[in-house]
Amino acid sequence: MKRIKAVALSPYRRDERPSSRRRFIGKMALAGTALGMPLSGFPNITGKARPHLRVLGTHVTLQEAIRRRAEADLGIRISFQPGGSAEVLHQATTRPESFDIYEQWSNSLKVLWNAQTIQPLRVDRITYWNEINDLPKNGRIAPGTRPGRGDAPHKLLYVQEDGGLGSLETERTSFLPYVHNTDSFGYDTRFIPPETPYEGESWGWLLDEKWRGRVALVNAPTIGLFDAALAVQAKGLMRFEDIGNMTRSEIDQLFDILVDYRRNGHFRGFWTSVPHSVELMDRGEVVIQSMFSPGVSTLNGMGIPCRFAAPKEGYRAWYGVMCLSSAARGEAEEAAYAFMNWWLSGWPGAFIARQGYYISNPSRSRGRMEKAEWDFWYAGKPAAKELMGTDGKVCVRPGEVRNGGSYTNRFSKVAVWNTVMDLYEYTLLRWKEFLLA
Amino acid sequence: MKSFPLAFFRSSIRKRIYAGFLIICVLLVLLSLVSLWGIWRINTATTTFHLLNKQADLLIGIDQATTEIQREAVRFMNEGRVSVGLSAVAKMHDLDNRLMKARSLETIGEDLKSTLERARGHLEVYEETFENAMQEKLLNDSLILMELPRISGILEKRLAAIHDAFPEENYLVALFRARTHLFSYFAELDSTLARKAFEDLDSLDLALAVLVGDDAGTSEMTPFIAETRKLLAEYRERTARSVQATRAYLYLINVVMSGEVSEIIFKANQLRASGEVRKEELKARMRALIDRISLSIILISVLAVGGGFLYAVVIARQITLPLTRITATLLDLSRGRSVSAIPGSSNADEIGDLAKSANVFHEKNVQCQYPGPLQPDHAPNP
Repeated sequence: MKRIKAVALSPYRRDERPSSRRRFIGKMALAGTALGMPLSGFPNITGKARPHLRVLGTHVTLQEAIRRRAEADLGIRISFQPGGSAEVLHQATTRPESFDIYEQWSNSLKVLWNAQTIQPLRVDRITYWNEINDLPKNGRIAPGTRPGRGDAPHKLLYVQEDGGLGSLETERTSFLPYVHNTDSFGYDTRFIPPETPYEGESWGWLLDEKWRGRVALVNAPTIGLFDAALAVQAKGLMRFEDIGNMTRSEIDQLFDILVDYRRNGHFRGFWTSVPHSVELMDRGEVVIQSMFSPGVSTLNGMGIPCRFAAPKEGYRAWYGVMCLSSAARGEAEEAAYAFMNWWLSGWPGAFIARQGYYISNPSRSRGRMEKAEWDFWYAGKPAAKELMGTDGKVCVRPGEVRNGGSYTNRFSKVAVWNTVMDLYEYTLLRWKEFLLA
Repeated sequence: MKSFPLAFFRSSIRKRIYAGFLIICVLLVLLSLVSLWGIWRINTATTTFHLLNKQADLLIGIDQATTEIQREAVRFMNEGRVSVGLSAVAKMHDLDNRLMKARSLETIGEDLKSTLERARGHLEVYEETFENAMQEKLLNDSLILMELPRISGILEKRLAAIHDAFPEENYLVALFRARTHLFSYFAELDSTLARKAFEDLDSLDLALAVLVGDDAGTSEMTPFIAETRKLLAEYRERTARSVQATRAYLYLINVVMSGEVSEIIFKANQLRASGEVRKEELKARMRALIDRISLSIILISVLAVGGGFLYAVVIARQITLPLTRITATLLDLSRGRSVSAIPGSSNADEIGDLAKSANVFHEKNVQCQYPGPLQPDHAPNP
């Protein structure tokens, strides 16, 4: 019997976790002295044996196709250790020696930095640093746009003189900015008639009585909490002074509202992984819910007309961070820089665009994408032909337009970033009440 | 040509009565057979009903077991007592057994099997998360109760010694401040307090570094301060680990485990609803079967009783009406009224024979009353 697959957010799933992963890594490390190859494009790490790079992260980017391509391009051995976000964060904060690169979302950065399990990156070693656009550097995709509340990546990017993280430009960064996206909610247009992006579509729909019992949220307080907060605010039930860093009384008020909705049977439930979110809509249990881009693509590929909303209140955005373990030294450090530079070299950005994600230096990926792909995913133009997703299935039909428009347009409308607030721990306690109300 | 039934109803009364008995007997046998069939059908259906009902109860029981688990799990999440957590896990095992049992039933459809399997998946995640949460809790307890006080105690003594050597600055204050911030963090769960604790420790370390860098100390104090800084780094690392363990524990308990419990409850509700629907369907099926059997028995009974009654009436009328008519005619005769003929002589049955015989007597009687010329051999005696 098929189990719920690929727990991207919920950790510690036996069937998802490579049970003998550590043993495997150990064996591979012992065997890793064979087949030393020069690294194409990275002559500074021409070791005798093929270096072995261990990448810890989530399923959304640690995909086999990427690993194989990186191995082929770099001539190094790479093992991916995908897991749930909490699981990998836990591992990264407790055992820096167990990985070389950690990659997840910017909301895990404060935790890692405080735990001192990652080390600063040298800007001069990032080959395409100058190609990285302004979004992670100053929080604005274009001059005059708002940066969004919460943990915007630029606030955590640079290592400051005092050892803290900030937006003042220095020669050292805490992470490599790479994939990113704007998220919102997805809705089934068979039940909810589509409306005009940025005008009709609203986060408030998540609390619409009409969909009682058929609404789901993502079970992650650094993400789902903001979806709920945006919905409550859009509905006019309360206002936040700073939605990216709520006060205790705001958190209490928000959860009181949410618990009421939950008790009235408004929420079907809380999903813990992208496949889980797909399953909920596929089974018809849910018609509107928090969503991630790959989930929407999958549903569309299955013929379910799920639309990724462009809410008038703005998006909840996230930024992928790639960090270097504090334990990475010598060859491992070289391989890590090579891998990071590879990520910005074009092909990975083009690959990941097919699941709706953007790369921090899109211009380099443009040449690796067909014109129709670029026009659809980045330029917000109608698809000139059928477009494939990363799974090789058609996920975009001719004439379809990416909801929300172009890359610039979407990132001009960020309401809040995925954030670890000051009262994050307190929100965890209230989140439980909400889940079990 | 007369049809069979009409001919039959004109045949011998004895035959008709025997035929009537035969028909009633056949109907009674049929009734018995139908009753026996009904009893057999009800028996087999009852067995199936009980089996399916038990299965439905199993599904409903899953929900009841889940309610208990929810109670235990919430208690554990609120109180954090390991014994309660273990009790919840034990109940999870029991629930898992129920789910497996339900899943092995042949009558369970694929959709329900998939729900059961998903519920098992959530149980599995819950259990694994519980183990991890317990590890974090134990680690944090040991850090807060043993490791941090131990290192802090040593640091206090060392910083006091440094203060004695360099009385212009009290390094202990920064340590106490960090400790206060850390404990406030645990009480209020506000990350800014943890951050302040780290800032205090970092500033203390910086101050010690300056002390060594300035070379203000005597040569014997320099290694002592360096050693103290190492210890301080260890204290900072343990503090960071403790904050991380607190976060991880809270996340695992309040998000992952609660999320799984929430899904398990939902699935259990689905199973209960499915069990109740099944029960209702079974009841309806059983009711339909009993109705069908009852109807068959009633129909056959009505047929037997009604048919027998009708038959009896017809036969009785066929006997009594001609007899009444014959009796009336004979009474008329006895009263000296003239009668043309005894009725019923056209009947083909015993009454017809009786009427014909009576007619013979009647004709003889008529001849006696109106005699013709006497024949010699019939001349009356003198």
